[in-house]
Amino acid sequence: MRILVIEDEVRLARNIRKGIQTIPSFVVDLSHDGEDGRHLAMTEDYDLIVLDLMIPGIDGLTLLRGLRKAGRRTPVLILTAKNTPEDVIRGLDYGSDDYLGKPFDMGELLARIKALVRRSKGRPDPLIRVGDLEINTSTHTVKRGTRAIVLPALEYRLLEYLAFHQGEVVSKTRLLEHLYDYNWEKFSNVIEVYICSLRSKIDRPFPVKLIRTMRGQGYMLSAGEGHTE
Amino acid sequence: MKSEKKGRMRLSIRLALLVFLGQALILGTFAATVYFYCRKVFYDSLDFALEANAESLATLVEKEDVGEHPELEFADEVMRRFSRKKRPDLFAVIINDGQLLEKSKSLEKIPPFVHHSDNKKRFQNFRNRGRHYRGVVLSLSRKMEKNPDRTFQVRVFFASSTHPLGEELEDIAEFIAWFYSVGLLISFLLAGLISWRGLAPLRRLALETGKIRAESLDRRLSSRQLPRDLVPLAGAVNNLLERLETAFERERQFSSDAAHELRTPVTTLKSGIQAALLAPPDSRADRRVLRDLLVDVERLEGLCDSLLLMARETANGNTPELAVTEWIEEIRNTMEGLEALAEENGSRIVGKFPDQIPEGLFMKTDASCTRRIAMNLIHNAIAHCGKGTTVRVEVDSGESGGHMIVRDDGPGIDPEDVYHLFQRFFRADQSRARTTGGFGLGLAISRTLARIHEGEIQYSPEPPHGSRFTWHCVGSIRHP
Repeated sequence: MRILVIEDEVRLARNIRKGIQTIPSFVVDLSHDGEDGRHLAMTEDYDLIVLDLMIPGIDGLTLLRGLRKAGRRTPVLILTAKNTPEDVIRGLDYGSDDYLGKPFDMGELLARIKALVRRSKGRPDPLIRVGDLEINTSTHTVKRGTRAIVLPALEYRLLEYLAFHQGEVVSKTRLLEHLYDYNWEKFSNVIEVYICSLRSKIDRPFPVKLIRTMRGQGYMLSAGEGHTE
Repeated sequence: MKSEKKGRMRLSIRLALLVFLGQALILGTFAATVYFYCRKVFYDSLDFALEANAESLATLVEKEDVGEHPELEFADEVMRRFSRKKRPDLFAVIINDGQLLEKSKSLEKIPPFVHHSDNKKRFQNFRNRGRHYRGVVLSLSRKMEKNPDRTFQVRVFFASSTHPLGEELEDIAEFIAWFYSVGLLISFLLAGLISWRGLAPLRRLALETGKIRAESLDRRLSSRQLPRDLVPLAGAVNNLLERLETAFERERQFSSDAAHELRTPVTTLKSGIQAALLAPPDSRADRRVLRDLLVDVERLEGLCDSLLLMARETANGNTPELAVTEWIEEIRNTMEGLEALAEENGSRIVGKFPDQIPEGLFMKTDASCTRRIAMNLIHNAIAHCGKGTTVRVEVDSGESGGHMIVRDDGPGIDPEDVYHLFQRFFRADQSRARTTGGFGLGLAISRTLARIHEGEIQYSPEPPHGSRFTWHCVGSIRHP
């Protein structure tokens, strides 16, 4: 999952990124002004946007309205020092999905981000099941049958993304877009390497294979029509 | 002591007393007038009777002809009234040569005024055997019986006891006294009632004013039902409320602004600490977070310092004093301390300090205020001007104080922003990008610090495009 944080206090933005990235599911892009933030939000496909309202350039609410007008459905969490009930109501009415006042609690912010992502993916249950594979998105642990599987952050992120979109063919480009932040050099063979590594941990020891390669299209995580390699 | 006590007397009582005294005075005058009028009427009627009696007595004096002796022709019943035991009437008849013709037995002695009276008619009070009498002396001429062309002089004295009259008057006085005391009692009650009723609007006003609390300062006293002379009072109270409300509002606004503005650094601090705790231990990253935290803590500290300094200066009423040499020295030191920053920014500072300083001049400020103001004005100039600019600091002093001018040839201030320049939390660059640092409190605090001690900070554009801040600092010469 890739998150955009638009916040003009550079150090606060860095702290937020630091906090969010303690969860293996997320990578974070930062933007420090409205103009740049709008550009990123319109051109990149983010899974969530954390938006400060008082930002230089375009103010947060205008940015949000522009985003919704353009048909963008990205969940938006407003994070701002303006937190009177009127501010909150206005923020939500402008089309944001959640609203959090500063100073905030990092744990709460992370929980809200996770909840928003779950809801936007249509999977409100933090426990995702694919056949006998269980992915706990709250504790970031993976279990298949009775066996716990330990995954490095990037592999977990890949698996979680596929699990959120299970039964769907996910292209390599899409995976690259959602698993890495803006600063990464994107080589598509990286995905193949991680899929391979993931398969060795998730599928190889088990008779039923869950990760399927759709030639020329991408990958799919699915419990249906399990086949042996 | 006495006057203080009087000053504390309740207004209603004072008012009642005044009304009462006024009424008592009027009543008293009225009573006295009635009494004296009655007395006069009584005496007039007595005098009238006396005169009639004297005249009728005179008709009894007869003289046949020249050389004859005058005689008094008395009837017995006339004599009776002169011989009754209790306060008899008195009389005496004297003929022209002063010879006593006849007098009543009860008359102890003819009062001297009878002989000395030159007038035709004279009334006089006197005492006879210890009793009060009033008598009349009539001098008149009568015709002789047998020779009507000739007359002779008779002086008739007639007196009656004033005792019945005195008793009557006493009765009247008693009646008037009763009337007066009842009147006083009524007027006393009336005065109380009048002052109580009269002060009712004042009490209502007090009640209404008493209801106003700090939370309801927007309430105003209605002057619609007030008597006209209480309207200025209500107006003054409303005026006071207005000012109070403004002050309260400003205070509240400031607190809320400060709290609001404090949130950002506090949020950064908190998130930084929490992120550091969430992240796996990595000594380098942690050090960086800690460094950032330190910067924020310093900002918080600076803000708190400023707020505290301002609060302190506002709270303590005493007047600080700073010798002009020290004042200039503080400014010079502050300026020199900022030279490094200016160099970093690519600008330079030029100072101009006076050669001659008035002797014994003391500035109405203190060292920390001076430092804060100089620091703020010079720092602002450096921060808002770009490379190659020059910030000029000019200090001068005269007998009534001194001024510090900070001017630059930077981009200046947008005319639209000038109005907000000294408002709290205003930043000329709306972006809030904190590249220049500060909270937008600096100028507001500086101006407050200057104004607390009767000084002022003013802005004016500096041709061709820079800005110019002038701090006027009040001072006075003190001869040792």
